[in-house]
Amino acid sequence: MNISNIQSFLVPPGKGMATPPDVIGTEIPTTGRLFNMLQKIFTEGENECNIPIMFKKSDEGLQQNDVHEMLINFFETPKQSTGMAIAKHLRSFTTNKSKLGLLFLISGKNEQGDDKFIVSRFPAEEGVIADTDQAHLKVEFIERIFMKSSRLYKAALYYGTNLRLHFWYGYATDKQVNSSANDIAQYWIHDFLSSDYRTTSKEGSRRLGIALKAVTNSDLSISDKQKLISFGVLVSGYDKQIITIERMMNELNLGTEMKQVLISHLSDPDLAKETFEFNSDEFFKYVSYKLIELDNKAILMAPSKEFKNCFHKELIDEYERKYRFTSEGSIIDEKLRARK
Amino acid sequence: MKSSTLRATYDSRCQEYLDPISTDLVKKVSSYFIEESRIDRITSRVKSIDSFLKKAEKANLDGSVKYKDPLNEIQDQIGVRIICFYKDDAIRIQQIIKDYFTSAEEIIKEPDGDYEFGYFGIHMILTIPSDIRSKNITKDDCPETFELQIKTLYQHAWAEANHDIVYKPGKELTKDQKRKVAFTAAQSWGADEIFNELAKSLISTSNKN
Repeated sequence: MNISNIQSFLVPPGKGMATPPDVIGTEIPTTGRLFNMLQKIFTEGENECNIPIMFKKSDEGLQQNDVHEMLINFFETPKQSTGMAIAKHLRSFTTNKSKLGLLFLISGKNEQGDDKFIVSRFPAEEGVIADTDQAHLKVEFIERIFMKSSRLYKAALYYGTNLRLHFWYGYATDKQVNSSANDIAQYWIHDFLSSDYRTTSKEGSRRLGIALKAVTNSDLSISDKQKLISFGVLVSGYDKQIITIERMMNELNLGTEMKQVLISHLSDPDLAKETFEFNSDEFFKYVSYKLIELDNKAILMAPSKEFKNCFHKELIDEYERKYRFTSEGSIIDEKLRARK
Repeated sequence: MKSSTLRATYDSRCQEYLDPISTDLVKKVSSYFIEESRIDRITSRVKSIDSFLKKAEKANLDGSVKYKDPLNEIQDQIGVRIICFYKDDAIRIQQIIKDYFTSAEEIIKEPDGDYEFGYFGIHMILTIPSDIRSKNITKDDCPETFELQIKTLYQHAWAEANHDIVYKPGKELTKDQKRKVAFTAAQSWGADEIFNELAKSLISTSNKN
């Protein structure tokens, strides 16, 4: 894996400013400690950038995008002037909340010999530096520390053999995609990279709904089904969040065994790791009703999200695990059906 | 790349990737329309080797090669087509597709001039979903995109006949023949318009009753 060029730019906030502060840049030598750190970022790009993204098409619906052009232009001729266009574009979306940032444009080849490009942004943090001078400790406040460990760190990865087509699809990392501030959530992927998630909100939510419906219709034990159904009700809390199925399962403590069962009902296990904006309405299209069947042949059914409010459940015989369900309401309809 | 090498590479790509992906895609696309009415058919095809090679050899107006890297640049190696009854159905179908697929391109194909009649249809270059295109398939193995066309029955009928008797033979048409082709296109366009208007009034009326 070889880096052929690194350009760096100090990008100040400039969003909405008529005369924004200047962007200052420099080329980074391909030796030394800074290079070693950036090489690690370059090598680990595939693991770190795990949100599949793609450029937005033009307003006319064509496969044309100015940021895509800027990246290709830089990759073909990596130098300060071509990188400056990218840095200035970043400045135009950077607010004071996003802070001053250090942008690295790292180009080279991956292990397969394909072109590889990492765009990486370190935000400016405040910190304290401690140094010792013989027996004395020197402590100093520093305003501009750029740390990769920051939760504000962002990057994007592109690779392939055909820049125009393969660089249309990339991968990003951004821990702020769920920020409540819209400009922060949109800043890196949607605004600066002018990209969208590769999985649509409805498609990601549909996949989970279909998998959950299939698994709860399988021959699992009742207690396992109950765990999965509870999970299905609780995921409604993730509406509009940028998330993966894996993260929902972890955060809702689904348990290793049930996680595996649910993943096995996705058409590809890797889909559990795919990022999308969860759409609760779309998800509930596939699991809209919860149904309980009792050994006395009674069937109770209500909308999944409302089931708990529709039926009061009472344990009446602990040894036999018998329950009494009660419900109150006015009768608005009655039906006969041939099947359950 | 030599034509014989390109043929062999594309042939092996068809067998290994394009054919199975095409089969999976038509199933997947169909699954979104199970409860939708007025859809005549949903089909898929893999571009034949001869069509692929013919397209790969195309030149620009200035004589330069159009596709320097045809295996990557030709984006309709897999094509899915949805044929619906009326024009408004095509718009409805397009919206459903947009809900579930990401697109790199989305254009309404129509003749350039306001007084011209010819090919009409919605063309979209969509991303092959990750549940169909496995992560292990590299970018050079198979394109990341496929083409989806949405057409009405009349648009489809005209395009098929035009492809068969005009495009495929590639002969220069006489003035009279060109007028006849344009006339059939105008007739199809007109039938589509009227059927759409009828559908709007009759279907919404029957739903109200």
